[in-house]
Amino acid sequence: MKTEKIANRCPKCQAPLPADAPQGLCAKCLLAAVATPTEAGQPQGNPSAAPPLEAVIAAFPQLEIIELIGHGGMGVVYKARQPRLDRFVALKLLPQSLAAEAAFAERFNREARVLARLNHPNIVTVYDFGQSGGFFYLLMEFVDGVNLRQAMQAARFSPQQALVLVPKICEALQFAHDDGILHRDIKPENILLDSRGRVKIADFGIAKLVGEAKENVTLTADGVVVGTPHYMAPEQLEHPQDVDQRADIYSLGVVFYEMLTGELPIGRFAPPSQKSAVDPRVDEVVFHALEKEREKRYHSAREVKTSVEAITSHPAPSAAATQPVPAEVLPARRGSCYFSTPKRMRSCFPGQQARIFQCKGELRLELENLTFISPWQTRVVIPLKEIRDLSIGQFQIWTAPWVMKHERIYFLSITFGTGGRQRTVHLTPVPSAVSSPVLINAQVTEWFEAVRKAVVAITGASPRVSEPAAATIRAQRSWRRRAGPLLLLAPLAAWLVGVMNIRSPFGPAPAAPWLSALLLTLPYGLALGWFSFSFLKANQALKSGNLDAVTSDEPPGYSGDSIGADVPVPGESQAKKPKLPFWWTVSAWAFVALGLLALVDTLTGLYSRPINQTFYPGIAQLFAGIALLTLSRRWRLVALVALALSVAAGAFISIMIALNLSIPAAEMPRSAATAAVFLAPALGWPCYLLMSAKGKALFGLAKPK
Amino acid sequence: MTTNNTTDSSSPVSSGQFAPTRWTQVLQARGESAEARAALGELCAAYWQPVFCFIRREGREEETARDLTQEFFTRLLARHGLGTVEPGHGRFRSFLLGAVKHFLADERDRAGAAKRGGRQTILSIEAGGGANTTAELQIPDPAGPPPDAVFDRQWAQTLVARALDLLAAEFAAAAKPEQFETLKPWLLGKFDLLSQADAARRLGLTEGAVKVAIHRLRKRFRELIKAEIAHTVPEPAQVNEELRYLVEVLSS
Repeated sequence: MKTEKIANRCPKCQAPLPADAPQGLCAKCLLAAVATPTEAGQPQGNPSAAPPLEAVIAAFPQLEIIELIGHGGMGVVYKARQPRLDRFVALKLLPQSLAAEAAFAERFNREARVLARLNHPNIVTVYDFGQSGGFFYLLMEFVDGVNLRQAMQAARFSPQQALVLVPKICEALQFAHDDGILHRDIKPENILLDSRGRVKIADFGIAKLVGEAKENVTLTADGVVVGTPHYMAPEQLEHPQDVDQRADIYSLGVVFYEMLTGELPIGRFAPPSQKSAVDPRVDEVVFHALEKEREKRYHSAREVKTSVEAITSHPAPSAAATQPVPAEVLPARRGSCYFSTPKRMRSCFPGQQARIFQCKGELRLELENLTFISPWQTRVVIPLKEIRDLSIGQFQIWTAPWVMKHERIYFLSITFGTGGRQRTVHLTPVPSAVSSPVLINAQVTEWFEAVRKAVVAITGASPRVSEPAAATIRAQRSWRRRAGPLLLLAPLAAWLVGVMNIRSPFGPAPAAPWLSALLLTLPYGLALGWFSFSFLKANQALKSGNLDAVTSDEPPGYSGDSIGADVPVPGESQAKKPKLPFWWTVSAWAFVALGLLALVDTLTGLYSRPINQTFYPGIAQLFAGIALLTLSRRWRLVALVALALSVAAGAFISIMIALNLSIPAAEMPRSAATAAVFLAPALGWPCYLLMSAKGKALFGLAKPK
Repeated sequence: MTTNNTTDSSSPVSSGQFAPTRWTQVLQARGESAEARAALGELCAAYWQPVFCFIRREGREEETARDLTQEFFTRLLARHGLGTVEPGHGRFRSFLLGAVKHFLADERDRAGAAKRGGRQTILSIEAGGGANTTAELQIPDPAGPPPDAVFDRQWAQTLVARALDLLAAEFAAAAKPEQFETLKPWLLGKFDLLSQADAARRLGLTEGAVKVAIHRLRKRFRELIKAEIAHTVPEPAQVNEELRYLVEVLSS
């Protein structure tokens, strides 16, 4: 059978065939053949311009021709793939009529060689050129994106975006002009924007190649002038042979005008600032580039760039006021990010790492702004040109060395001024899937660089970068941590007393359980309420999207400055010990006191009941109190376990009461009170813990160890 | 036939040209009529393989994957209605992939991996390994292609295989299996390895006749592929788009 020939490799694309290839054929090539338009298939928009695809495929066996992506006076362009290099390329075929001219081949080789030498990040690279199957071709970098025309049609450019793009175009032009290469056909179709927002100029010098040939063959056969008249300088229309770099500058001026106004500068045209909210100083730049006489024009692209950058780096006051919300084209960078503010970082709990974030959202670096989008779709917009200080801060968590290593976690500390106020926010971009300090820190560093570059691109100057050490926030050691274990001795002693049947010196205390019931419930309520309140309040501010609210959301009890004022350098206040908020201290001590009270009660009644309802829960309460005071991970976990036990005991006792089993009537009020004590945390804690992931993070549950 | 083709090459050109395709049938009836269920059944039977490959790629043993695939389709077909699928958008391919993912997540939950709150991936900002103990992160082979890509790839291959089998069956029915065997390499497109003269000699035809036969073969194959795609998209207009997507999937 003949098909044996193609058993192992596809004869067409040479790729190895899988064992289950349909009918021993390559599925890829089958489908590609179907998708390839043929004479029987769908007609192309302009069949006369595009050579038959079969011919192209035959002429370029080393390429997989994927699709036709453009055609015009300068030839046709296909998207193709180089299988061996596994990259996409753009294949440009010059009009076939050119091949008829004998001298063309020589000139083509000469010019193309010069073009292939142009190597600049903003210029589409020419990989190869030559003649194959009757086609003169250029093999070029494939730019995955849109051209400026498509971008302008998709979304109106804001003047700021135009002011960012133009200097990049200038750089590319200047680079080529320095090598003596003119573009001769600058127009929006030839300015490409890739998917990351970078500018690439295509088709350098092609107009000349094609144009000269056309002149020799048919200049006016169908009345078409090579090039695009509206974008061509007057002298280029009149004496196409005698142009210099100033012709490109004129074309650039037209593109610039069109980006700003959406119109072409034809006849007596209005200054751009009348048509859009652009700085009036831009008018001058545009008019200067569009001078009819080239002697009056800018002499080099570099001058245009300098003029534009002078405007962007010193924004006019009025421009800021009328600044429109930028259209969301080209988000250069985006990712998950935690949001926080300096006060929140240091506030509330010393050593409470959960506080380094307030909520998680999306961070976007756009042309002009760094924007944090909260989970409620509100935005904190940081204009890049307003960034005064950009630093990497380090948050160091103190933990007992036997629990884990001391890791530093980086965050971006950005100080910016808006509305006459200086604000600081702390952003911690995180990788989306897993987080570990190493990954987070790498991510933060990347963002730092990206933001810094963006700021430089807009203002022309790097923002101030503080020494990393100055922004370090270090969670502090606290005497409370050390006191915690000592406090543990109290319930241990109580337990020993109970076990050893020693009669308590206090005697029976009938009022104690009532009191303990009341007082134990109260601080719980306060504590839970406070937790919820501070988070809700913080996030409420973000929800409202009001920048002032976001940055003045600090919980009660913090004694720091308002963030609206100049933010204290974190390093300076490092010496000051952050205070535990007053109510925290009170409620935590209340826990301990009440735990002890419950124990005393238990001990005094030890002989009259079986090991009773209050004892274990009492210990649990005690643990919780200690944990809240010491605030280390280990103790928080112990507290959770203790509370869980307490909740279980409470539930058990409630059931006992309900079934009225084995509890004498005289004990009922007391048991009911005890049950109430248990039920409060039973309801309160789960509510709190389930309320948010932050609750879990707060209690160290988020981190498996 | 020829007149039809020149007017609209994108519509499904199978036997029932104006009959609704299977997926539109399913969508219109929201999966509730008997016909729709039969259509869904046929579709599912056709695209068993991509689902199986997807589950395999998710890191299941071959046997387990086979069982899971079976279980998935049984459950999908036993379910009444389609739930969240909206008519008008949504291709069968996307629907099936979504359903498998959902199914696997359910399966994980059931297996007891999801503890209280375990479905939420909690990002710890402080230190250490983060959330990598949760069930969602069991990626068997980080170097391989992502499961979604595996699914789409297998999908495209299955689709091509189906169309090719249909084509072979048509030739067999016309008592010309030999012709199909000889001419099928030309379905790959034009290339020079095989000469049409050779084929003509083998088949006992003139070279001109072979040329015509190849042309017809390719045309019919194109029709079958498009018809096959049409069965899985909600609107005929999306056939070409889907075709382009599948070509891309296979070339990546």
